Amino acid sequence: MRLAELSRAHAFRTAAIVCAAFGAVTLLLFGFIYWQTAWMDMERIDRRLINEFTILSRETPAALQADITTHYGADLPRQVFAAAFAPDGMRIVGGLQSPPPGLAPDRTPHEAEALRLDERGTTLERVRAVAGRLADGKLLVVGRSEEDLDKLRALVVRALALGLLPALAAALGIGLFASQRTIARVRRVNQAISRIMQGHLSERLPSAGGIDELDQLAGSVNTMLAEIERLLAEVKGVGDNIAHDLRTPLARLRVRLEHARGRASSLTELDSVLGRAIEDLDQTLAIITALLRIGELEAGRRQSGFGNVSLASLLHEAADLVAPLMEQRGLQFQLTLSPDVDILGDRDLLMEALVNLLDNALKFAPEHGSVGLALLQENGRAVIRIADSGAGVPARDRKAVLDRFYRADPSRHIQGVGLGLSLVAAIVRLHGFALAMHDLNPGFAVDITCSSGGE
Amino acid sequence: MMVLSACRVEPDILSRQHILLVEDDADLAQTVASELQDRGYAASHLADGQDAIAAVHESDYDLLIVDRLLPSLDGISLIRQMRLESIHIPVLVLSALSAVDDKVRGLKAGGDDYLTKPFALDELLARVEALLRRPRDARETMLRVGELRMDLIDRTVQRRGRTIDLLPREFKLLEYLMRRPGQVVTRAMLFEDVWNYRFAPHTNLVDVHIGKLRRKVDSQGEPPMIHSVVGSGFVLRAPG
Repeated sequence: MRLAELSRAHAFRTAAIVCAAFGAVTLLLFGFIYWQTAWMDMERIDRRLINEFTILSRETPAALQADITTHYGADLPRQVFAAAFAPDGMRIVGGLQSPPPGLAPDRTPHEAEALRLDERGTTLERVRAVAGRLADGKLLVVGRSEEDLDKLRALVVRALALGLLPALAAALGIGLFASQRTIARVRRVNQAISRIMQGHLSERLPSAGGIDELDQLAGSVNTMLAEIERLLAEVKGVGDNIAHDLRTPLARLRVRLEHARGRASSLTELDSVLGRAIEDLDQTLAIITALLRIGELEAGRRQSGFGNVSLASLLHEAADLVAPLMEQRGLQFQLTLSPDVDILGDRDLLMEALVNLLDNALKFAPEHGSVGLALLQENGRAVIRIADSGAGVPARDRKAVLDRFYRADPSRHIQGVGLGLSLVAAIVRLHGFALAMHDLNPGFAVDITCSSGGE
Repeated sequence: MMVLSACRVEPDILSRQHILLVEDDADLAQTVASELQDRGYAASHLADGQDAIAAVHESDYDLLIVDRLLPSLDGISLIRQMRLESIHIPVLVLSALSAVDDKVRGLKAGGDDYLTKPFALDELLARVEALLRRPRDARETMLRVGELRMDLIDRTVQRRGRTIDLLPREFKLLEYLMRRPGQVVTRAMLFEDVWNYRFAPHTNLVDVHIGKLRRKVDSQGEPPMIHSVVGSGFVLRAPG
């Protein structure tokens, strides 16, 4: 829930920030347009005023009077005006009652307040005007009403204001829509997560099918979920198998004891029942011990016993250990050694792995078959090969046999607790070695590829 | 101090070997103590390491059986403290921890042998016997059990004048048995002491080796010397 609130707050904040930034940029843009419009117009007007002032100032007094009367008096929209005043300020001709106060006679345009004079009377207006003394001392004023300019400015401002509001509203709307969409996606993800937390591990995070960050994240999480689901299924499978493998001897034990309690007629009989009961218990205990050892090895906590191990002498000892067993089973046993290699490892564990693999080879080899133990060199690496002339493990089962509690033969007629190979796999992993199985045609081999001690 | 199974008052009490069992699992301790008494040992039981230290100071014990995990003072610390005080009673360490590292720690601290729970009582008894009986002097050059003679210098074995050819491993195996005549040795003891490996092979590896040795030592017509003890292991005994 908290996550949802956070993301909601975040989404809204983002939308607001985007909206504000958009508004600010729009305002700047509109300000520029306004400034350009007003200033450009002013400049155009100023150039025209100076131009007209220059033309009028060069005329003779009579021509000036006529021109002002004809040209400026006929200007019906009353935009432009011109007037001439005597040196004492008395009006000679033109549309102004008096010289605009404060307007310097410097022949440059200024803003001023002017008392305009026409047929209808006098009006006070804001104007832009140029004033200057003529050669005969008269004051010439040429000007233009600023009313239309003000109107234009007002128009621009209104247009901008009208444009800005919908733009901001649109930005805010789009922002909200986008954030709402994100919030909705996050909400769906959160719902999926709470379903997963309730134990629905097959649930996956929704993906919009796109390639954005949220989809990528959902993709990664989904891959992780698939892996977790697989591991949990494996653990459950292992747990079921353990329960099954423990229950079988325990069930046998129970029946045996119950039967003996009711029927045993002599101490000898009872003794034999108890003997077998202890065997059953030992079998269950062996399973538990092996599981604990695998767990310990898989946690990788057992590297303290590591030292230099000569592979040749290790194989010699292993051969010495199992040779009588092979002989007893009527199997040919051969030890082949290439030049010796020292590796870093735990002698006890490696021997345990070898004995387990040789024991397997012995079980899988056919009658009068053969078993081989060899130290090979492949691509500069030492390889321990345990081979037998049997059919070995079918290719499809090879990965599974390394898992806990798997036996290739579903009928389980081969003796053993079924943990041997997973123990071997755990030992090999602890050493950073590699375990591989392959067909020899004929025969089957398990290879342990060692990294040499120098690495 | 809690003594669950006090020694029975019997006239030969002074001649009996006295074992102190330090174990906090009362059920297990009682069973083990009773088994030890049945075998003719005097057995006391304590549940705590501190009490055990005090008891060791008070009376003479021939052997300590110490659990690895104890309430106040754990087994390893108990042994270490005893060894620091130069008390050299042999100690058999018991532990529910199967880790081989733990076994090594137990032995390094001064334990003489190590047994992982769950264990067979026979295994425990065999090891107790092995610890209580001193093996023959290692400096001996000739071992004799009945009509069997082993020359440790020439590395030859003879039985009533018949020379027995043995492979190096078989020689070592027979030497181990001859140093412990009449004493039951378990498969695990053989695997640990003759082969020097500390894992328990599932297969009948040791049996097969003993079988080969037996065929060489007890040839046809001769009274057998190497015997199997059901549920425990093997014993070498002079015939008759």
